[in-house]
Amino acid sequence: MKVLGIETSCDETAVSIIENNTILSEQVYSQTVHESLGGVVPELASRDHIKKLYVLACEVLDKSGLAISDIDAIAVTAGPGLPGSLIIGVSFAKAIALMNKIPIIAINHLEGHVFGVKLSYEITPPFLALLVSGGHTELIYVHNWGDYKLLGTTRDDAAGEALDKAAKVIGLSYPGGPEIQKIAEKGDPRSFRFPIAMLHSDDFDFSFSGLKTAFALTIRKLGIEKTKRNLANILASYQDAIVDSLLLKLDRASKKFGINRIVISGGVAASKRLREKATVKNWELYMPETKYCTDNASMIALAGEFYLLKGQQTPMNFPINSSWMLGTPLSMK
Amino acid sequence: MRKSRFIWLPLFLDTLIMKILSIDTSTDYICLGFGINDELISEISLRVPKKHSQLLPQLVRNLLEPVTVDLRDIDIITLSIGPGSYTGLRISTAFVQGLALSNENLRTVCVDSLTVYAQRFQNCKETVAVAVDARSKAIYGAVFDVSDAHPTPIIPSGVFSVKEFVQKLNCFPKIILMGNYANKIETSVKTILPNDFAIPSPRNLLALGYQEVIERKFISAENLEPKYLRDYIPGKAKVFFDSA
Amino acid sequence: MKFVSNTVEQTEQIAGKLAENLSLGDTVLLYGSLGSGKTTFVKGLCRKFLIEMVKSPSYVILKIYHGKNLTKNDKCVIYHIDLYRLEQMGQINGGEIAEYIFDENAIKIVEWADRLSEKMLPEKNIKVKLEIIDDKNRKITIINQTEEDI
Repeated sequence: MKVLGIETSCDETAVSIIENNTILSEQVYSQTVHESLGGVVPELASRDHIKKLYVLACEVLDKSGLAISDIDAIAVTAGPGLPGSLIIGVSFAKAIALMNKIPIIAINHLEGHVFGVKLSYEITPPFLALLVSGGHTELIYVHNWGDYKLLGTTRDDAAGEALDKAAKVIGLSYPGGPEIQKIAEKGDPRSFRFPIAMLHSDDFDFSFSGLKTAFALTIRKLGIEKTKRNLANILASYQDAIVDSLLLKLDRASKKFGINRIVISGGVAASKRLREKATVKNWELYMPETKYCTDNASMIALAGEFYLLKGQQTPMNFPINSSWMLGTPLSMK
Repeated sequence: MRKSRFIWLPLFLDTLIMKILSIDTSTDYICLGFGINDELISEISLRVPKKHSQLLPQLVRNLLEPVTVDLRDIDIITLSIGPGSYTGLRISTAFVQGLALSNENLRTVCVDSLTVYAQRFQNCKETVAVAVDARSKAIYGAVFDVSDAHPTPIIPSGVFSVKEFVQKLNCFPKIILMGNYANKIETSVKTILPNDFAIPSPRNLLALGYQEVIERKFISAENLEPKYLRDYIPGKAKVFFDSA
Repeated sequence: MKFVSNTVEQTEQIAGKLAENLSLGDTVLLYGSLGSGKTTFVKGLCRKFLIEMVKSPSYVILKIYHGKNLTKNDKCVIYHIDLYRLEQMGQINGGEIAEYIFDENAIKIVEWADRLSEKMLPEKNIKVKLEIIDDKNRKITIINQTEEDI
């Protein structure tokens, strides 16, 4: 089954065609308009999606050597993400499905990331998946493809967001993760004590808001001069506090459910420190190549193909849901 | 870019029978029209606040099925390109691009959304002013002379503060006011506020679109972009409370 | 109105009180630095509408919650908007965010409202300023625009 996947949930415009879990052709355009602006600006993201989506879709078709009439179905991200951006991919996808009289399926972006692991590895469930990015921090028990239990999620900020915000406080650029990483490499992660959030709660939720506040207060107390002198140490400690709280919950879940097969994906999975610290654990660890950690349409098409082969599709009048939780219905109303 | 197959078009397009689908999602409404050349065959106007992307495909079906036309048989799309609700405009733009991807022979013409309101009063010897809510205390406004078959802009579509626009209107002896902000405009000028002032009519959209077709003003799918009228550029911060 | 809160719970309570007087179309504008308790305030506010899963929407800018207005026994849509990331835009002037901030059929809560330009402030707005006094204590100032006008 040839599935055309479309992903426009944030600042990547992506189109892909897959068949039998194999990519026939794919394109990702990463928007650059936001770089100097400290993060993704929704209005600019939407304007850029409109400019690029059609062109990318043409390129993907051309490269695959297929005509649009060869496509059997459409898979499109319907959430979570920026509403104005999601709606562009969804409207585009619906028009193609309507005109070609082919099925369409709405895919959860996070489920896409779960399926995305297949783009780098042969892997069979069950496994635990940790999705960490600027917008997400979710710990998922993957019983089987399409069968998940959301074990935990952040109660406030996402892990990547905690890095971004700290970076901003001390005047580093966006995204904060790589910038902090660079400076932290020269520091001692044990020199400052930041709270490991939710250390004592026995669930699998995360919280980074308290940590962020502790960071802001530490800087305030130290003053500009001392902060400057200790910057590497502060950042190394802060970064470790985030990495440790991620791995701590992952470790606990692994022990509780007796599952040693672990997937870590999402933008923050590119973090060197996270990779270092995760590798030394006694896990069967899968961290997809960076290209498939970040947003792409192949993972959406892959998830779509899975459901379509089971005979499922989504009625054409489906909405977008900017905060669609994994494992819940798309429409909450 | 994808190679479009060469399509033979006769020198005089009005000798051809063309099936035209008109789409306007610039307001809270979805307005759809199906026409053969400049003759409107069927139309739908439905108020669907924040539900355009959900309902557009089904409404297109509802429009075409009763007249037994397949979406594949549509030759031309008339797209109301703005100004108007950014999200609304992007929904129809992306939708039309999806249609264009699926049918290489499909051609698109674009029509200014405010001109559609004025078209209704063609050959009227009146002045038509259009005011559409642009949020953030501004309106999209335009003023047209409609004494001809098609509206001629006196003040072309632009973004105005309400005050600014009213000042401009006060220079005219008498106006017909249209657009979803029309009932909130207070002028010293003699004003006619028609029924349905807030709804763009598919009939008028088709009339304007057909004119574009005759003039061969086709826009290729990759160049379709809403008429935003405003660049999205940083301004200067106003701080109410100085942050600690 | 001025309050001093010394716990997270107190901040939530103050927010809850404010929530009881909100109706569709109202916009709550939050001002305060990082860690001053804005998200806590939003949580307290949303809890009154039976919304529990409140998280920072900094990354996606906007979250839409479907809650219930208990005093009016009616469904209630809440837009939780966080403009933190948009600081370097300087100011927000229209764009699709305006379509939410000026929506009359929802309650809007805006964190980092100082990123908005003046014309992006709806007329019916309530300004809430949160200040850090020390580790625990927060000063909360609420200015109700509509009341002030009377």
